[in-house]
Amino acid sequence: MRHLGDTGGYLGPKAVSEGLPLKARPFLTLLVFYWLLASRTQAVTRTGSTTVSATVSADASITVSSPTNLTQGVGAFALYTGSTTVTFSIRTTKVGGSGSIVLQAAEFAPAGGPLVSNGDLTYTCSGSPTVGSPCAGTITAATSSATSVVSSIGADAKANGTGVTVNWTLANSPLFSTGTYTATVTFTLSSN
Amino acid sequence: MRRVAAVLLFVAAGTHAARALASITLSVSANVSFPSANPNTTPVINGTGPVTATIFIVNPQREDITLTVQANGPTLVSGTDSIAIGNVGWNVGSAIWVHSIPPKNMAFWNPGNGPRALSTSPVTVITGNDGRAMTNADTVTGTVTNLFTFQNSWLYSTGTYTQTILWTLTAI
Repeated sequence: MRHLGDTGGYLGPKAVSEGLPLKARPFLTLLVFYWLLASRTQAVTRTGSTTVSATVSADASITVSSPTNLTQGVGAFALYTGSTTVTFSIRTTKVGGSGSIVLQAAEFAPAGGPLVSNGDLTYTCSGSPTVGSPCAGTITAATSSATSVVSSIGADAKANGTGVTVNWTLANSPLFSTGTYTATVTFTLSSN
Repeated sequence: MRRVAAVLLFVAAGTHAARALASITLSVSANVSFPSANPNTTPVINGTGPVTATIFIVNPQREDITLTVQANGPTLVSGTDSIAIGNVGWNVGSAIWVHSIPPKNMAFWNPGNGPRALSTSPVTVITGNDGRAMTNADTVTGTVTNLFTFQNSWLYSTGTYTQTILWTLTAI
């Protein structure tokens, strides 16, 4: 029977091996394994948090095909016609929001030809935008005020790349001087 | 007698590791926000600033460090409206360690795992090792800068949407 004190406090590998009863060896092996495992898996966890916030406001974007060339129909002094494609995206305020598209024409230039102010330029609307209502009937463009293209875009409206087509008609008259006449039409999309 | 000695050895080793790891703190930026923008001109909105996670460790002993991030809910919420949290993305902008004095072993970061979309499941942001200190009083500070983005859309209802994101630091 050997005692720990027999080695003066030091147990070399051989001494340990020889000194352990056979029954104790698996137990010691298991403890060493647990010790190694414990020393590697003593995890410490810390947590933190961040508040993320995103503000989404009313906004709008519009593109208009340009230029629009009006061409004369068949026959003498036939009307000029052409169309403009209006593509728009919009989101309106969830409560109380609204939106619309209007247009306003500047006068034709040079002088001697058709006149917006004379009611020579009219249009209709076609297409089915996903929000709002396209204009109905024939509308006479004006230089002094805006006229409707799409109306009744209500609150919490959301659309991406929807559109409407404006179909133009320009008067013709034997009294017009020959030439090329140009007018700028401004489309305004509003969203709130 | 031998059994008691072995158990004591085991307990002593465990408490040593726990003592070293107990001196770890994590602090993160409290807020990140995304301003409203036109989706046509700004399809992806950058956060107003980076979110910084700062890890402070006293007496680092070559612990393996893992930082994860997850959302506390599946959506950003504004009243009854919601936006899927996957529209928020993150990426690691930079990650550095700074030792208080030259250590025995330098800390290091492995490359970050972004960019990714946020989800409610924890995703590893970055892993690393905190190095080994020369003395018990030495410290190391890890700074991980995270950049957040928000996928813009015309189809969101207006409002201010919020959610909490959770950071978890694990040191082994």
